[in-house]
Amino acid sequence: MTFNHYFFNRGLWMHAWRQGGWIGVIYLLLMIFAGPMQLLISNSAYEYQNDPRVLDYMFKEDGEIAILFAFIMCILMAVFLMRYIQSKRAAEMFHSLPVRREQLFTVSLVSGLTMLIIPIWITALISGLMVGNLNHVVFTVDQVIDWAVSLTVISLFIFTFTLFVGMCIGQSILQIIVTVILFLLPSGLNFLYIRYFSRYLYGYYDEDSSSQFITGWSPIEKLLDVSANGFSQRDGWIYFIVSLVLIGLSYLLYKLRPTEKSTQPIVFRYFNPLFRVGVTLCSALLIGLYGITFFGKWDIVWCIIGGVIGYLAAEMVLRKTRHVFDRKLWIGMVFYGVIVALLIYIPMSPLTGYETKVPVPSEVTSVYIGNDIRNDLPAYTTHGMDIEKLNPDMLSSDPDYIQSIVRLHSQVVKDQPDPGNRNDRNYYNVNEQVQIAYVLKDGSRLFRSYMIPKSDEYRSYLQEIQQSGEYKMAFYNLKALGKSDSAIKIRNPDIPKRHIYITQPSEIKQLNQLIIKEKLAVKNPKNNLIYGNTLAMVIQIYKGPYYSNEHYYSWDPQFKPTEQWLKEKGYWDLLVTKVEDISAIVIVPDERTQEEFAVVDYADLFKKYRGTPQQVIISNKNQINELLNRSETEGENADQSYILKLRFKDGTGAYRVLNKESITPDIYKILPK
Amino acid sequence: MIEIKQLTKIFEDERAVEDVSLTVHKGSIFGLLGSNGAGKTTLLKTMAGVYRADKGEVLLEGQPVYENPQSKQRMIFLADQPYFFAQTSIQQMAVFYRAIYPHWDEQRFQQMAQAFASIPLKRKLHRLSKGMQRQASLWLALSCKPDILILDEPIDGLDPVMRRQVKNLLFQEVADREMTVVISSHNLREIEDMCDHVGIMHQGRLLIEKELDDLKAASHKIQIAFRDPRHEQAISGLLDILHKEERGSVGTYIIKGTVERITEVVQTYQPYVFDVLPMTLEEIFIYEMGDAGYDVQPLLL
Repeated sequence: MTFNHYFFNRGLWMHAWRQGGWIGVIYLLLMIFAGPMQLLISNSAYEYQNDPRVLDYMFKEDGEIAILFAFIMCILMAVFLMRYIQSKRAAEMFHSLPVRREQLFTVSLVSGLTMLIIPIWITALISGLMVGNLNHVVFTVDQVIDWAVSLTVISLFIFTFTLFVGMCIGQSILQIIVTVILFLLPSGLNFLYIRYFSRYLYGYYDEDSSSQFITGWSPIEKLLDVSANGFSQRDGWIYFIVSLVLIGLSYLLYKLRPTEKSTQPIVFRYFNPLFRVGVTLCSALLIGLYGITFFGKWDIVWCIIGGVIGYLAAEMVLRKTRHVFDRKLWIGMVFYGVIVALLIYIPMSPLTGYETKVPVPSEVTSVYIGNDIRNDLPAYTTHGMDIEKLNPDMLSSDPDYIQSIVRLHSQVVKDQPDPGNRNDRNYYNVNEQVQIAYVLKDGSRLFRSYMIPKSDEYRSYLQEIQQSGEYKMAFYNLKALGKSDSAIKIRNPDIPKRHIYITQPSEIKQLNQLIIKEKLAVKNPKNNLIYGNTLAMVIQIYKGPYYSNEHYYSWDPQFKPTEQWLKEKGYWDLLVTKVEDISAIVIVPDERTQEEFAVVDYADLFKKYRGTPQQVIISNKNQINELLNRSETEGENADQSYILKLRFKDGTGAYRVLNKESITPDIYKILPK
Repeated sequence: MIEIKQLTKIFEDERAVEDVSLTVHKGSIFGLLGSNGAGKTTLLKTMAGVYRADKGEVLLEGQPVYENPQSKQRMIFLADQPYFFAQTSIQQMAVFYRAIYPHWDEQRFQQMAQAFASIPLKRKLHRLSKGMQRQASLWLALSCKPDILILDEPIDGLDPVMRRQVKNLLFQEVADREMTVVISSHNLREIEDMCDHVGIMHQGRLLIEKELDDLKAASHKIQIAFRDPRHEQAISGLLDILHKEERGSVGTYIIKGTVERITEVVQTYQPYVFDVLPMTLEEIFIYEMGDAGYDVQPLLL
């Protein structure tokens, strides 16, 4: 037999093209829709905009559509081309032919890939011809080639993965189901375990979901994020290499695969235990989570119910019948039950040492403590926040500071205080959320999250930390402020058009230093109510192309140097609200309950008290001056007692808040009784 | 020549074929008989290289068959249910087979169109009846000019005219080209006049493998009316009687042994009636299987 006859058997190729050709044609149409059509749509959408749409990469233009089509069509292609080993009669016919299995598989593999790749490159050609011909969308030939190469690799990966699954599975439908489940499994299991860790591990901080490490392994989720993140060359190589490994494994498994296993759910018996464990584990975790979420108790019962259902389902699939209830089933159920129970229990058990682990101060390089690791700690990159790289401005290496945090941490770990029921209204008032992040000498990280009761046992520990300069530096992001050269916007919340920009570098520096000085002077940032503040300073500390990162600093009138500086520079008069601006001030009491805060706004209050003795209108200049000095533009809900409406001479108005602590005897006299 | 050496094939925990050794000579027609579930189909599929043997081997002219295109291109296996690609006609299937089997004979394919005139060349095969599909698969198989043709229950579902036709075609191929045919069936009457060699399988094992003539010569069906009932007792001590049936004074016996030996023994008692009747393959099968413990159970419904 000639080589030509052996490897390029026309009959086999033609059969493969008949099986998959129609999928290739549909794939081409879908790709044209996902590529050039999207560009045309975007082109007409940008027709009336000032700037054209400039693409950084082709996936930016709803790239997910192409990826989704790739998933569907590559899986279908693989399933149709492998149909002959999943159907009994076809399998027997094909394996009686004078063709080796390698050849059969090569034909499926190569023809399938060809039928998937040609549509991509035809589409790329069409997109390439559009480069420079669209008036409102700007992209390059390189980007189009990049798009096509990426999709080629993605198609290769999905296609070979489905082929590989098909080698292990004997039914086409199950091949599709298992493929999709495996694509989703890494992030699915991660998601489930995190829910359990949060419930059972004291101090658990869910780092994985913020680092996206595990989720990154789930191809569907990763690829469906492609318009935001693009498709990196590194990922491309990983997918390519994994595909090659899968192709190799598929050849190997095909050699081992017995023909008679078509229509069997799982071809190789040594996968059966894995299948049982997998299905039982997922079902126990998932149904357990549902039970826990809805009922909040009997956790173990729900997990057991889930496990039993999962095991029965796995057994029914494997035996291809509903009649599985025999002695073997119960023995298996106990055996796999124990394995699955261990798989669930061990990661949450004291064996891992997660709950009690507190680093020795000498091991710690730097530390963060605050109430929101996720917002505070990630570094700012061109694509936004990235928890892989921590923001050094938020970390402190001060040995005393590290010491005091470790002291608090040790005490909390030792006591494991019960913060009470999360659903209690007072939960967040009686507890303080404390999140700690250590960067250790070996480069590893240790993140923990606690709800610490605001009781005497912990007050001294907390105060020691919160009153330290290091804490204030992180709390107010002062390190970054010290380095910032961004313009500072100062605005008057009463009168939106009254705002200024400080743009002179020397003035920026001076004002930044004043803010730092002011904030460091605060006794305890967690317990620092500012009264009478009427100006807000907005500074863009981190400048990124795709996001704005503004920091607001409320000016504290008690800290006089800032006021002094503004007056010296002549900005004061340009900013503040003056008595001359105002024709009158209307005062009403704020007696809203906690529930009413969300539904009754200031306008409703003034409507409610209009024409009643509880509404007072002040037009005396001295009194107006006094009220302006004592009230503030934003206030703490708990302490506010009166709402002021400033009526400006130009017909506009603004609200202010008068806190109980700010009421002087003079003001008290004029307030509504 | 096909040699099967100590072949065992296991499905899950079930031994479908166990320790079967068998030789099929070139140009012979081998009939594989057996009870339902005896393992005939499994043996044939392993022979054709569809299944991999768990133990033992299948050799064609000394070469293994499994995963060996050189051997497999000389043989064709026709399953009990033919398989064709979806939405294809016999013409399209012929294109496929032509590409796969190097000995495909296009002229032969065209010639045989007359024999299978009921199958339109361009009609979709899956729309045809079961019997017509079977004819189509045979048509394709014979056009490939195989040296070995393995047929699993081929006669099922064919009308009498077609059966004759198919048999004639097979005989012709065997006579012209010394094609070897391996054929399984439980319709014994159908293959009795075809096979020159038979094997009987039961519970995965090959009970008997003989030339059909030898098998027929090995036991005989005899009708005797004895002069004295005591004579019967006397000959049962001398001959190996497999089965006995009495109608009035005439008894029908199935006796193992040569005709000469049986005649010699029986004639000494000078019975009123003594006839040696031809034994059908079906009878041989039933009595042999009865010997192996596979009996017609006396059922009263």
